[in-house]
Amino acid sequence: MASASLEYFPIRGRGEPIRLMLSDLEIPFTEDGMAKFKENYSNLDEFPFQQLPRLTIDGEKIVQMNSILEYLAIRAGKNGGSSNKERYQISSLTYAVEDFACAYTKRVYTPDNAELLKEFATTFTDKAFGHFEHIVKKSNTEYFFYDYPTFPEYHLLYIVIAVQTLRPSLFDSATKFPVLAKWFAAMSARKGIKEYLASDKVPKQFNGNATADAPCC
Amino acid sequence: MKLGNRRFLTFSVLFPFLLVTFYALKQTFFMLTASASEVILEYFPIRGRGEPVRYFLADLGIPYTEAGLDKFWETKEDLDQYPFKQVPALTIDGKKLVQGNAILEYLAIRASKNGNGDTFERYRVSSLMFAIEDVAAAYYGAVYAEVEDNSALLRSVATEQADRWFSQFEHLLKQSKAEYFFWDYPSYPEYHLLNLVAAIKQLRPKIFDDGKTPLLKAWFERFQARPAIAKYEASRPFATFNDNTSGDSPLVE
Repeated sequence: MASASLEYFPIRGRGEPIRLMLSDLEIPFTEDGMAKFKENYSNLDEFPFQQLPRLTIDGEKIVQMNSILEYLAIRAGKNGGSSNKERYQISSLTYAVEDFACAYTKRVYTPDNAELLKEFATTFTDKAFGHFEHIVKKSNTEYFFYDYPTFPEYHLLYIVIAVQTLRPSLFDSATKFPVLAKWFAAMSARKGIKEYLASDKVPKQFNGNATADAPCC
Repeated sequence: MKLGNRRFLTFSVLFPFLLVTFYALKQTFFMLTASASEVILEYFPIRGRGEPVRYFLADLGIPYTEAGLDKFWETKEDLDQYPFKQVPALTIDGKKLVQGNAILEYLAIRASKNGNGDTFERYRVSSLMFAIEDVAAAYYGAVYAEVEDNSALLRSVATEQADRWFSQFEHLLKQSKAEYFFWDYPSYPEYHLLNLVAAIKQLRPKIFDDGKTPLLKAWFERFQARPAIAKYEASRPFATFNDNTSGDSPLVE
């Protein structure tokens, strides 16, 4: 059975989408923390961009969260077809989710961010989720493109969990995003993901500070 | 009806009708005659996130029209046209593509300039792309910071942050057995890096003078010397880096 080693800080952050995907693909992994990184982060052979997360799998050490997710998708044969059009639709979704995640992270790490987080979880999210809703509405399946999640959908899953933590009413009956809500339900119900989310392996803290760990609106 | 009234009625109904019909026909004519092979770039009249696409189109010898933003401002709420309400948008092969880095990847695959398809090689190109995107996020974060004076932020980008990034890219070039980061042609992320290195050098013109990153310096010069790139740089439509003037003048000795 394949296994992997994840090195990241003891938070959800940029490790969590990888944890969700490894769980979904039923790839057992160990959580190996940041000890090696602390010792060795200036070694560019070990940490080419001096960052975490880093995943060791198939005897290789790979970095950059989105690249790790893509590698896992290709490895599992869950990366759609080989046509340029199909590759483009996954790629453009990846960058759009990344834009949204960066907007979240920027506010999380800004001092005195209560108002910023509130505005993010409401106005900003309504705009961005409208874009994702529009795409997933066109899908013939529960997921964005195929009958399985593509790799950016694990990142989006994490971000939606993070936003829902700030705004628990996100997917209530009056939601503006009914199809995205169905997607979220489908993702959360997948065997490996459901087990992982119910386990004590999920880090308590979302980020390097606790400002986004409780509802703001 | 009196003659005068009839003339007035004819004029006030017929004229607007003819006007509307004229514009409808003009639009239909345009749509029917715009060839399927036409490539159209929509972006701000600045370098920004459009420049990597312009570089790549130039290097691939793909003619295109710089269409500006009229259509974007008119129809930006149409999520079928602009799925994330953003530009750059590139119309090519009958489809409108968005997200600058996804456009670069599409062009590379289309031109068979994306390596040999080996999974690990794909990973390495991808990780370089996201590392470059980290640089972009920091640079543009400083340029567009909502503060009165962003020069301290820009200075930090051009000094300690750039030193760190440039040493990482130097290390990758050292590992490369080729002229560019992977092959004897630039991978798609390198077109984005070309603009960012130029932007950082604009802030700190002597950035390569300390001799700490000779391979990156050589890469930058070699890239700019590619005939199509050199030709493009001599005639680029928009010289301003960003949507404000920060980034256009040196800040660091």
